[in-house]
Amino acid sequence: MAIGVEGDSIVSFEEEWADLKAAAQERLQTGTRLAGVGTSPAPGRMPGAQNLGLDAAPVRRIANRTHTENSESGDSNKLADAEAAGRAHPGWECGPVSNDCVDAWQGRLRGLSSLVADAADGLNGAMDEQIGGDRSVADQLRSGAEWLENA
Amino acid sequence: MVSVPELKEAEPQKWRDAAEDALAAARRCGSMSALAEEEVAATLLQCWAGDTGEAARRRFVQHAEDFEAAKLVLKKLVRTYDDLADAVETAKADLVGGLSYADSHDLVVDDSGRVQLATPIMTAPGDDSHFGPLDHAAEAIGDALTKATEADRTATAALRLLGAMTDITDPALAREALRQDSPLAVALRLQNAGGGDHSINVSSSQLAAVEQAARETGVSKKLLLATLWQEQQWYQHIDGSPNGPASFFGRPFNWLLSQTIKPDKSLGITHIKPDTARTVMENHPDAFLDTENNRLSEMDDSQLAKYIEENPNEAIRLSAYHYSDLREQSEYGARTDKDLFLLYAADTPDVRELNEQYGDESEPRGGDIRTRGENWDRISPRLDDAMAWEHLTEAERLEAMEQLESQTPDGQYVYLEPIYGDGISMGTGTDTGTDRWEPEPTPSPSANPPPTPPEGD
Repeated sequence: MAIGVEGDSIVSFEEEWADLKAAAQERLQTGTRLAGVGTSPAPGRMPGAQNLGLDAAPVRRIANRTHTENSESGDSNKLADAEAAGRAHPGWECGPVSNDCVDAWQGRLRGLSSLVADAADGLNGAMDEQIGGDRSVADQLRSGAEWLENA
Repeated sequence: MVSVPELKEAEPQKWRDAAEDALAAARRCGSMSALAEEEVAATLLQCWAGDTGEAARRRFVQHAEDFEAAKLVLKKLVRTYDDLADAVETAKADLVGGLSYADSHDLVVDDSGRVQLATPIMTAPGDDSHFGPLDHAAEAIGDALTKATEADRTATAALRLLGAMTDITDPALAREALRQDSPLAVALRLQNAGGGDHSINVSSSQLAAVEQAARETGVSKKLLLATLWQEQQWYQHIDGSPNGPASFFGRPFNWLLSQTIKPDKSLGITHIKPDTARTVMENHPDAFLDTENNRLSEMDDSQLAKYIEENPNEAIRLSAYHYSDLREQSEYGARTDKDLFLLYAADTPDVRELNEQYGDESEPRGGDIRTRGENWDRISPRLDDAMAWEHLTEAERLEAMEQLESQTPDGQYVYLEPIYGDGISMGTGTDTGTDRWEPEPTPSPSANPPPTPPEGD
């Protein structure tokens, strides 16, 4: 289906969309990378037609699993018995010091749990934002194509 | 020193439960680390190309390291609790056996582990056969308390370090900090020492005098430093300088008082009494000579007071010799550095007796002695850490500071202030950390404007 003219060639919507996607993907892949980072998805994992470089389903699954495991670990991280041991030996030098140590680590473990929960939430949020951005681009292109068709 | 009631009432099973608890937490951290690195980061690498996916992957790699570092520390916590449980269990069994033996031989045991006959008995001269059971009980009970105290101190040192390691996010640095007496471990303990106590505000010349006096007399450097800390509290603490206005007026005032009003007024940087100083000089005449080899013990009171005030290094030597004499006179009530520290304030039969009865426990004591004992308890670990820091090379201290800075949030200060010496170290954190992750904006390809229809045919 011919929808527009580029120079002397007739360009179809599908061809133009493919060109735009390729150009965007190239821009995404030329950003700064850390050493040891793969620069492209593994072969066989092609991005979906609407998600540039993103296969959302596995990422959502792992984000949700991270949430689940993080929540489960919360209960076993309380160090309640360690707290009780220190309190049972107040006259020993190590009793109050153990209390301080346990207190510090209870805080640290809660903090780590929060960081992971936030990061897992962030994955879903970032994916939604990227997918939303891709849909917006696709919608704009379709609007343009429809205009051309009706021109 | 752990007391008899403390060991008798100890619950080693609780320490074992604590070890199990810490092990469960360590395992969970290990699982979360594996999940973050081997599954989440790997999935992101496979399924999300681009800057946003890469940022997410990096974040989870960092979380994997955070959890791995936590796991290493918690595993050390497990070993600490386990070792403590083992030692306490053994010591408690030995103590109970010793107490039972003492009871069956009509012996009484003090909280400190001192064993005495319940009722005095008459014996023939040279007949010490009845002391056999007493000696046996004393040895058994003393050994049990010594083992328990050693385990207590070892666990305390480990727990202080582990409690200071919550900000370590690099597993390699966690391993370094867990290495015994590593510079990083010393720096972490210094950083987490807590405030509230004044430093020992003396010159490097006086610190050198402490080293010299300790070598000369065999008295511990730590005891002399603690004495300086304790006895400085009147003028150095108030104006923060050995040469400040309070010190400027304080010393001549002391000298004047020694001449006219209070012959027993404590003098000099170590607050030694003139009579005590004179006794020390008389006990060690060849150790205290002037430049013309005259014995300083022949000075009159005002000359002696002036000498002590004007020669702080000599005041330190005098105190060191005094400590040596205290122990030389009798070990009774003068067995530990803390015993001596208390006797420095008041060498009386009462204080010695209570030292014997209560050992190193401060709580049962009264008045100024109790306060002095609690001061010792509080500054003792700070002195240990400061001495460890002092023994590091400059390169080791620099490396430890850099390691601390790498684990401190970017822009935050790193500040180490040992309780004595000029080893204050300052730095600034460089860790950009793992703040709440905000997804980076997705770069979107800009759609071309609609093609312009050709003009005409």
